[in-house]
Amino acid sequence: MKAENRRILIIDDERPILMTLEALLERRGYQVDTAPTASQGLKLLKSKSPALVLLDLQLPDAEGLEMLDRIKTELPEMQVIILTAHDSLHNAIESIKRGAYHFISKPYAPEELLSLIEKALEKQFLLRETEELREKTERLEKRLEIAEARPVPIFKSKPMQEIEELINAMAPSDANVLIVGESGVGKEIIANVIHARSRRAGKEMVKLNCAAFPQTMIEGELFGYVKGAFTGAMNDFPGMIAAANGSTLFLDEISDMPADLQTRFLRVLQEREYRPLGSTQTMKADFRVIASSNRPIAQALSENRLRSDLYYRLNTFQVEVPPLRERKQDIPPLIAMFLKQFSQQLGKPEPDIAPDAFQKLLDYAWPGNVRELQNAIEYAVVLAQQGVIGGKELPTEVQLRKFSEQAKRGAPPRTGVQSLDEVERDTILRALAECHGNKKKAAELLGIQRPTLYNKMKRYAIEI
Amino acid sequence: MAGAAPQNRNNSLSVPWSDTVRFIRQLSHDLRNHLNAIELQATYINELEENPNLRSEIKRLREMISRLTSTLQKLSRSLGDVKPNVIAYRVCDFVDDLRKKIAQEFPDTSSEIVWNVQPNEGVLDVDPQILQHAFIELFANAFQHDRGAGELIVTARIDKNQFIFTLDEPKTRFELSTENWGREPLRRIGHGHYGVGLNRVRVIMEVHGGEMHARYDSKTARLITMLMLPLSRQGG
Repeated sequence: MKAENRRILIIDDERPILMTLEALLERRGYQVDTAPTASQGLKLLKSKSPALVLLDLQLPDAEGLEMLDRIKTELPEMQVIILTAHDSLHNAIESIKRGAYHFISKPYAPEELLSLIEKALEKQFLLRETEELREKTERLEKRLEIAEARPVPIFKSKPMQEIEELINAMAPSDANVLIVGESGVGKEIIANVIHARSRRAGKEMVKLNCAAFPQTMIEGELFGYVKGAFTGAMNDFPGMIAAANGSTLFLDEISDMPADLQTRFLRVLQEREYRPLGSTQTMKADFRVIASSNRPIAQALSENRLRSDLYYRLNTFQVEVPPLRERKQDIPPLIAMFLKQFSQQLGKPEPDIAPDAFQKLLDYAWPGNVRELQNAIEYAVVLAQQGVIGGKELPTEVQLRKFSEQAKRGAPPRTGVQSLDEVERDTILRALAECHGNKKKAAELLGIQRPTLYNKMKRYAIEI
Repeated sequence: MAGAAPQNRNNSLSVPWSDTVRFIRQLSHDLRNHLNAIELQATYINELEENPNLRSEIKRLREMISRLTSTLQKLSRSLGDVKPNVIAYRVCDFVDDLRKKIAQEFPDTSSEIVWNVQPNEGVLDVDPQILQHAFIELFANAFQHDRGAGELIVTARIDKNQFIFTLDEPKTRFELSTENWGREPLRRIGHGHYGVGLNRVRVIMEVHGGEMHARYDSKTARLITMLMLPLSRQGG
């Protein structure tokens, strides 16, 4: 049994009993506090947090059963044994009804009391343990909820299948990993999978986005600091490295970490030790690093945004996540996953996608990658009418795919002769794409009135 | 055994019974607290002491404390407030349980009891523990005071929505009136006997809505005590 669970408070106005019982209990290793009155007992109850109270029923300043009520109101889990020379069946029944662990008549055999104390403390210990387990279960359920709500990568396309094979091979090791890929491809999601399949999965992965913190703050966030280390350090802060002890540290956008900090961090990786700011104490570091970058590595190295020595240290395994346009096979399962996720979030039945809308989703280039697809499906689920997502429910960029892409690339060279109507229709669509579907701006760009634009859209069956 | 009644009861200072009870209970409370301190101290000294002779003496001391404790606890309980926790209790179950309890409490003498239990299908609203205590007290009195030769005859029956329990016992040298049977605590006091038992029986019967009467037949030298309890209106 833990030491903190062996503190006993005795509340009894009989001084000889208090003193001798205290001595007897202390000889058996209990920590004992004594109070001759109810008011002093209540103070000690708050300041000493005992695991058990031995309470006399007749106190000079309170009636014992009322005192029992007060204890049970303030500390419902507290175990109380009633000791009284005023015994009656009524008192005994009332005490138990009001939550006392046991009732014992004076004079009692000390052996009987000691046996009861052990049982009461054991009960208290079990109650506390149950409470801790309940809290732990709640925490785990919450984590599970978060994990279930968190998007998972889709490993359907060939390049993603290869990535999964690599993850399965290297995740159980402690090797450092560098994940590269365009913005929105799901680098953090890949990091989650590596951590979840590692031996460190029991503890939550700690994440630090190097681009999200001012450069002056990253050092404190990463290494921690002691109170007074700098202006504003009002309390000790253990830092991310300490938080990641026994787990994984995910450094997002590593190339945005200041150069001098990259040097310090490299030393931590080599020596597995670090010192919080303002501290003279060296701490042990036990964490795995997964870093990510959305900049091409060659560019980051040539621009000196990423130190080459740190790069080589991190690059034990490199995972290059391809953009979504290069793995179209992943689009249908991603769509299915996001449809389910957002329907659940919005409390709507899962809508179907009309074939033409589905084709548009497949054809679009997704420059914002999986994140853009996720946003598009959320948008469509919100707007979906009567359980169907049609072309109109898709974001403008997706609806006007061809023209959006042309707008970005510039108009293609025309081949052959088009009718005037065809030219006009294409021009209107291009203008709408360039203005992201904003009709007022498109009309201005085309040099026509908005009602004229509406008429022409109707004529050419353009629906946005 | 029990001594004679005080010679001149009318000249004694008149003190209400409730005050007397408060006095006895407070005295018992204080003595029990002192005994508790002595018991704890004796245990503590016993733990510190290694001399086997002294430890043996401490053990004897604790045994003496234990006997005194038992006496004081009984006295406290016999004077405590009676607050019954009433439950429905079938008469036949009550009588069965009582017979077993009496056999257990008086293993040497219970064979002298003749049980004449008539069919009884009623239900009582009673606190079984408190009620059983009253009946044990009644039998203890029968066995301890002026026990005459012959059997104790118990009759248990139901009559006019009442459970009627009769104890018919032979007595020697019975010189007391039965007019206020159980209403005169402290009437017979002697070594180890404090004269509160019958009073307790009456109080317990009355809080259950019952009655207690006694009649002494000098020709046959038998005391007949009758306990009556109303049957439950719901359960009957």
